[in-house]
Formats: sequence, structure tokens, C-alpha cells
Amino acid sequence: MRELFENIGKWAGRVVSAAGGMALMLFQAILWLFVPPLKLRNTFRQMEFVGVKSLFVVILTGAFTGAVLALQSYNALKRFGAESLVGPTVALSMARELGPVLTGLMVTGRAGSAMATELGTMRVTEQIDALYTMAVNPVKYLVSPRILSGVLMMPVLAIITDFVGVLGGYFVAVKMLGVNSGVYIGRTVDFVKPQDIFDGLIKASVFGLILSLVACYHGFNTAGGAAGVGEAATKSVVLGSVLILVADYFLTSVMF
Amino acid sequence: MIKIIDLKKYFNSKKVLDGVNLEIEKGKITVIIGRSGEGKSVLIKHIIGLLKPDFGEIFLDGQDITKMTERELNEVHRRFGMLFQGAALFDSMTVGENVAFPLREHTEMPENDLKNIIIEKLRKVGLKNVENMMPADLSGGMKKRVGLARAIAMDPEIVLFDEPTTGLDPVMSDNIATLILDTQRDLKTTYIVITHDIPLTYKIADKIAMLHEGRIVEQGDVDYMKSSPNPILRQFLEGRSEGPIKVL
Amino acid sequence: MLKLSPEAKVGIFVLIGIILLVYMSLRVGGIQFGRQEGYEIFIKFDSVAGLDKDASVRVAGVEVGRVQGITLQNNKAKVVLRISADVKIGRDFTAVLKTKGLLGERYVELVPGSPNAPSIEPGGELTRITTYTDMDKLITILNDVAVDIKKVSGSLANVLGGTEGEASLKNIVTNIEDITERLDNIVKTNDEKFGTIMTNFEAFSVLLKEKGPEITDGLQAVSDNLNEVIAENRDTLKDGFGNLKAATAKLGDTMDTINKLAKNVEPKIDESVNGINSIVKKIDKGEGTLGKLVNDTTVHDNFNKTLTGINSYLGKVESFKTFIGYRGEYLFDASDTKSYLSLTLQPKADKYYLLEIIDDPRGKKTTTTTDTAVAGTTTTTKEVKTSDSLKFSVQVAKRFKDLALRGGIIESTGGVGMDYYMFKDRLRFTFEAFDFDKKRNPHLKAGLRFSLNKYFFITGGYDDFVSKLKLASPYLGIGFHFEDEDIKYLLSSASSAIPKQ
Ligand SMILES: Nc1ncnc2c1ncn2[C@@H]1O[C@H](COP(=O)(O)OP(=O)(O)O)[C@@H](O)[C@H]1O
Ligand SMILES: [Mg+2]
Repeated sequence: MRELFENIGKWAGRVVSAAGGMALMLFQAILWLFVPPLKLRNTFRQMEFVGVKSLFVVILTGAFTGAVLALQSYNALKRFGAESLVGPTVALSMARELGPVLTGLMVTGRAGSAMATELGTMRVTEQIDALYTMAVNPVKYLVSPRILSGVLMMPVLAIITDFVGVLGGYFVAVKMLGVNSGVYIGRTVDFVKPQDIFDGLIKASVFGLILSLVACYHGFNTAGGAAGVGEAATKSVVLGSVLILVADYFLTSVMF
Repeated sequence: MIKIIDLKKYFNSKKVLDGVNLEIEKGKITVIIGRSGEGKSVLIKHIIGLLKPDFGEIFLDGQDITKMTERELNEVHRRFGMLFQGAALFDSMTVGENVAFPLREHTEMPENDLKNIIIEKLRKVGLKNVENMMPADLSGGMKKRVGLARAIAMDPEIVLFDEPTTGLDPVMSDNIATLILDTQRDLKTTYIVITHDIPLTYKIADKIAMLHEGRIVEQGDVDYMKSSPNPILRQFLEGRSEGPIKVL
Repeated sequence: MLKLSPEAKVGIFVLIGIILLVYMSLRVGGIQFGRQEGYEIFIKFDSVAGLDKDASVRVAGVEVGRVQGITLQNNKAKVVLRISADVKIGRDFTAVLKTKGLLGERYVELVPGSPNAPSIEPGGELTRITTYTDMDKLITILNDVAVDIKKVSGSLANVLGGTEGEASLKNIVTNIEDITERLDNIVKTNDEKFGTIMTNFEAFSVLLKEKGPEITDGLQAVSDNLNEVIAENRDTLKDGFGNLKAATAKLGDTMDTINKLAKNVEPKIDESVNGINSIVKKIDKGEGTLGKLVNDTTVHDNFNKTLTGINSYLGKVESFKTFIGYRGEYLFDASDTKSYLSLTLQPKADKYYLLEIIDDPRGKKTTTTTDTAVAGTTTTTKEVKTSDSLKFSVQVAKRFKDLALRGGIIESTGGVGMDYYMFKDRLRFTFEAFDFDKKRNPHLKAGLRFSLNKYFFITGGYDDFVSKLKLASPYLGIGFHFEDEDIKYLLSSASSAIPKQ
């Protein structure tokens, strides 16, 4: 019984210290962004890694999500004779929810885990300590560029996902299911507002922050050799994905 | 130059350092010996501020580094170089970039001068034409030497060595020992070496300190240590499993 | 391949993103009406619930502007519209708040008036408004309809009013009263006879209860009684028909009176007809709400739907139904068909009376011994007769959800039965027990009945399966039943198919 309470206490302590650690890390990372010189080279490298290199997976995800959305909503809407709403359904779902969320999850899986692994390895091989002893702040050098690139690249990826998703939906609805192409585009244009897209991009940006911060935190606090590195990657993907979904709920409730 | 007073460090409830008292002289090579897991790395990380003690002080030229702010520590770090146990080379950079890293970070040196310094430092540790190789392609001994080149790149006042010869063959170990002596002799830099390599110790040490069960149990120059009757020291230096040191 | 620096790659990547974003938001944003373009007019609505700023303004479905702003002024919603410069809005345009699509957004539709009307100058007000949501719309229209109906009935009242009209109405009422009275008499006279029948029935059922084995005899008596009843009442029935005839004659007289009355009030009727005519003309032209109602097919359809709904509701209340049915069951062991003709009277959904006449090929085997005395010698003839091949059933049934219990006379003997309904009544499991006789065991019958559609069904099962007379037999049958409404329909369509002379 006592053990149980002790375990709960330990767990709560870990949660609190993780939350505190992340908040502190975010604070430092933001602070260091404003201390020149900006680590531009690192930032661009991270942007390339998070953004450009996620392009393929994101295009694939977007296209198939749009296609499936079109297929499903067509089947549902056909019953009410509202096939014309397939376009708006696909576009709105993509712009508001699925674009940012799926991009977030894919990038978490791809880039977040890689970030955690890289930083974790640097931690267990004392590279982070080495940075510190060379009077280079590891947060400024490693964390700030990663968070910045997450925040900046996620919206770009999300808009590409949105676009490709709408294309995928268009292909399925118009080319395969025979929805009129004019109606598809016309209804989409009627129902979707620019605000829907912008809000989706803000979401994506927040998700980018979450996934890079979680990955950096776990990477930075890796302990226990190679196994610890793997654990850090797993934890950062799990926690990152969960936090993205939770944040999505709150962002949605605030925005729409 | 460095004075460690009653340094204590616990991890959770595990006692690692239990009141270390040690003085390190300027321009000398101090070797701290002790068994694996005794807390040698922990001790050296305290000296460079990577770890904060639970109790005790470390004075560097009269300033307590355990009470320093990050900014002050940052300044202190510029006076230090450190060779890590696994060399801790940045594996996303080439050998050349690794050696140049502290210079690029802290100086506005033109690329040409930088290139020359890289070549010179690598030559000092006996390496040639490795600037464009990646750390992953190097042998253990080469890594250590690149690490040393990086540690001395900024011409630091104090260089810390964490087990510089562990995992190397005896020939390479001796080569590293020679390098340490060579690099130290030029500028009379203060070196702190932690190791359990007895031949290395005898070869390079100006002063030896033995860390055992969280305390310095004996210290002195090579001759003193060789002749000391302290059974713990004797057992360690002669490499026996029987004696007061318990093998767990 | 060109080796690009990370910076260049990221740059290209971001550029693609920005292009997509700009493209998509421009597409989705539609044509933006700039602040300088076009001109403003305003409208005051009682309510603009659901209308947003930037909602589109349309003429004939074409977007001609946007809602610039909505403000409250003297408890009315002042809606400022920005109309593109090349569109002229006439003073007699009507503003309507509409909803795009099934679940779409609200927009302002401007319905054009006459082509010659002067147009509203910038900053002017459009005063003609129709406000309704779809539900409001219906209610508004229904209100107008009620008013129109009132008017029509008012003019009718005028026609039939006055002393002359009153007198004629009185006449009509008197005549109708007369007819009812006579009808009542007829029923009353026959009532007694029916009473007798019922008494006999009662006695019969007591008999059934008390004397199991003698039931057959009792039934004999019942049928005799029935015959007697009919014979006794033959005269009365005749009288009844005579009365009916008389009543019909009187109806003829009544019609004459009504005719006369009609002639008297003809001029007035003419007047009202004229009035109605003009209303109808207006309606045809689509003037007024009623006109819209009649001319608008969607409203029409809605109305029809509503009426159908109401009918079905009323239908449920007045659920008295009568069914006539027939079924034939082929008994495999007897190689013959047993036929049932049935009449179901169903006063309530959960209660019905079932009357059946059954033609049973196996009937009841009775052995009759006849002693014939001819010239001193007595001959004993043993005759095995398949009698009672015609049987009848009278049962009362009560339904409890999926289970119906019934009892009464089954195949001319006492019996009980149960039906279990499945799959929304399409499948029915039936079990019957009757003809309780110790020697032969009761007659048990179990089977399934499956409805093919509203009228036809198939049935199958095992008949008399504990019989000691080895009469047990599987059966398979088909049948149909019609509701009286269906029959009426069938008859009327049949009769209309016969050319009238
Ligand atoms: N960050 C840490 N957290 C917990 N325990 C640690 C940590 N660093 C070192 N230790 C423990 O302290 C002891 C001394 O470690 P270390 O100084 O690395 O030994 P060595 O003398 O071989 O360098 C070991 O038992 C190790 O488990
Ligand atoms: Mg160590």
C-alpha cells in the first residue's frame, strides 16, 4: 500500500519535473534566440531536416488522407443526395484538423524521434558536456534551432498537406466517383474561408513547437547508454503525439 | 591554482564523493587514480562545473566556481580544455570542424588562419590529412588524439583528461602519454589526469592522488607514492585482488 | 545533380509553401470587394439571425456584393450592403434572407421588381423586405391561407344566410333527421333477432364447456338454431329491406328540396362563384401568399407530405380494420387441400375476432348405424361417413407485443391457440390445440407463416401431430388476405373498368 503511494508520488514528481523542465527549456531556448549570434547554420540544417526531408512522407499522407476522406464522405453524403459537399468536407477537414494534426504526427514520428535520438546520443557520449566545457551553451546551440525550425517548418508542411489532400480528394471524388468537377471546386470555394486555413497553420506551428520541445527535452535528459537513447526516442514520440492531440482539442475549442 | 575543500556528492542516496580535499598546482600534471566507479569522472566534472556539489567548495584562483553564475562559468570555461573518456567528438562534423569548433565559436579568426591552426594542432597530436574524415571513421586512439587536439585548440590554462588511455593498446597508451607530456611541456599548462593506468601515471605524474571510497586517501609525488606503506595504495599500485580494497 | 545548400533547399521549400498558401486563400476567399469599389445601400430587417459580415449579396443567385456591416438601429438590424458599381438595384427590389444549400450560410438575396423602376442611389435604403426562415415562411403562409378561407366561408355564409336560406337548411336537416330515424328503426327491429342469436351462441359455448364429447351434437343444435333464427326472422328482414327502400325514396325527395333551394339561391351563388373566380385568378397569377403557396411546388409537396402524415396519424387512431382472407394448406399424408375462408374484425391494434369457415377434406369420420326395418327383418347398415367436412371457427384474440393468444371455437370444437410474431410481423409461429378428446388425443397443430408482401403469404408445418388416428401430416400452403380498404379499391377500379350505360 505504501509502495503504491510512493510510486504515485514518484510518478507525480516526474510529471511535474518534466513539465517544469520543458517550460524552463522553452524559456531558455526562446531567450537564447535573442542573444546574438543566431546559430543560422544550425537552424537552416534543422529546417532542412524537419521541413524539406519530411516533404515526401507528408505528401503521401496528405494525398491518401484526402482520398480516403473523399471516399468516406461521398458514401455518407450520397445518402442525403449531398455529394456536392464532398469537396468542402475534404477541404475543411484537411485545413482545420487533419492537415495540421497528421503532419504533426508524421513529423513527430520522423523528425521528433530523430531529434531525440541525436540529442540523446550526444548526451550519453558526453558531446553535450563537451559543448558546455567549450563555453558553448548547449540550449542555444542545439535546442533553439530545433524549436525554431519546428515552429517555422510545420506550417509550410501543413499547407502542402492541405493542398495535396484537396488534390487527392478531388482525384477520388471527380475522377473516380464522378462528382462534377465544377461543383466540387465551387462548393469548396463557397464553404472554406481563408480563416480556416490560417487557423490550421497556427495549429501546425504550435504542434511544431510541441514536437520539437518534447524531443529536445527527452534527448537532453537521456541517461543509460544506448538503451536510454532508444527510450528517449520512444518517449518523445509518444508524449509528442499525445500532446499534439490534446493541444489540438484546446486549440480547436478556442479557434472555431 | 585549484583547491578542492571537503567536496561531497550524492546521487539519490548513493554516496560518491565523501569529503574530497585536494590541491592542484599550476603548471603541473596531477594524476588522480582510483578504481572504476570510484567517482573520478564525477570529481573532474565538478572541477569544470558540469556538476554541482552537495557540499564543499572548489576554488579556482581564489574564486569558488561552485557558486558561480552560468555567465561567469562560461568565462571560466574558456580557460579550460577537456578530453572526455570517449573523446566526445561531434559526430555530425568532420575532424577539422571538430578541432576548429571552439575557435569558430569564440574567435573571429579568418578561415585561412583557422585552417593552419587545425593542421598544426593535429600535427601536434601526430595526425596528418585527417581533417576531412568523419569521427565515426577513426580508430579509438585517433579519436582520443583528435579530442586532445580540440582540447588544446584554444591554448587553455588547464586541461582535464578523463581516462585518456582506457581502451587503448599499450603501444598507443604510451604514445598518448608522450603526447600529454609533449603538449604540456611547451606552455607549462596545468594538466589534471584521471586514470587507473599505472604505467601512464608513473610516466607523466608530477603529483599523484588516490581516490578511494569518496576520499583522497594518499597524495604525493611519484617517489613518495611508490614508497608509501598505505595498504590501499599498495594493493592498487601493485594490482592485487587481495587486500583492504573489497572487490564486489 | 545540383548540390544545394541547406539554406537554398529551405528557401525553395518555404517559397512553395507561401505560393500554395496565397493561392489557396485567394481561391477560397473569392473575389474581394475592395472598400473603394462599388457603392453602399442599406436595409432594415427585423431580425438578421445567422447573417454574418461579409456574407454574399446576390441577385438571381449571382453574387453582386457583400454585407459591409450589421448594426442595431431602433431595435432593428441595419444591414449595409456594398454592391459592385456595375449593378443597379431597383427601388422595388425585395430583400430576402436566404440560406445557401441544406446547411449552408445565410446570404441576402435581392429579388428584382419591374424593369422600369428607378434604381436606388448610393447610400439609399431598400424598403421592400420579406423576412422568414423556412419555418416562419410556412407559418406565414398558413396564416394567409386561414384568412383566405375565412373570406370564402364568409361569402358562403352570406349566400346561405338570410331567412330563405335558413328555411332551406332547416328543411335539409329535418330530412336528414327523418332518414336517421328510419335507419335507427331498422337496426332496432333486427337488434332483437341478433340478441336471440347471441343468446343461442352463449348457450352453445356453455355447452362446449360442459360437455366436451357432446360438442358435436351441440354444434348440430347450434346450426339448427341458426337456421331457425334465420327462418323466424325472414319476415322481419324483409320489412327491414322495405324500410330501406322507403328511406331511399325519401332521400330522393330530399334531393328535390335541395335542388329547389339551390335554384332559389342561384343568383347569390353566382355572386360568390364570381368572387371565388377572381380569387382563383389571382392565385393563378401568383399574387398574394396563397398564390405563392399554390404555385410553389416545394410548398405544395411539403403540404402533401404534411397531409399524408396527418392521415397516417388519424389512421392509427381509427384503427378499426376488417380483413378477408383465404388460405389453402396441402396435407401431404392426405394428399388433399384444406381450405380456410376467414374474416378478421380488428377493433384495436391488439385485439381481433377471427371467423373462419373451413373445408376439411378429412372431416370427421363418423360411423352411423342405421337400423332399417323392412318387412319384419331388421337390416343394420354401418356407414362410415366423412361428415362435417365444412367446419367453422370463432375466436377472440389478444395481442401482447410479439405474442398473440386466442381462443374460442376452432374447427367446430373448443380450442386455444397462440401466435408468436417475428421480424416485424413478417414471420409468425402458430400453435393451436383443439378437439380435446381423451381417446384420440387433442388436435395439435404447429406451423410457420411467412408474409411475402402485404397480401400474400406462405405457410407450412405439422398438423395433428399427436393424433392417435394416424392423421398426422406435414402441410404446406399459400394464402392471401385483404383489408376492406383494399377490397373497396379493387372493386371500384373493377367497376370503373366496366363501361357505364
Ligand atoms: N549522473 C549520475 N547519476 C547517478 N549516478 C551517477 C551519475 N554519474 C555518476 N554516477 C555514479 O557515480 C559513481 C562514480 O561514477 P564515475 O565518476 O563515472 O566513475 P569513474 O571513477 O569510473 O569515472 C558510479 O557508481 C556512477 O554510477
Ligand atoms: Mg570515468
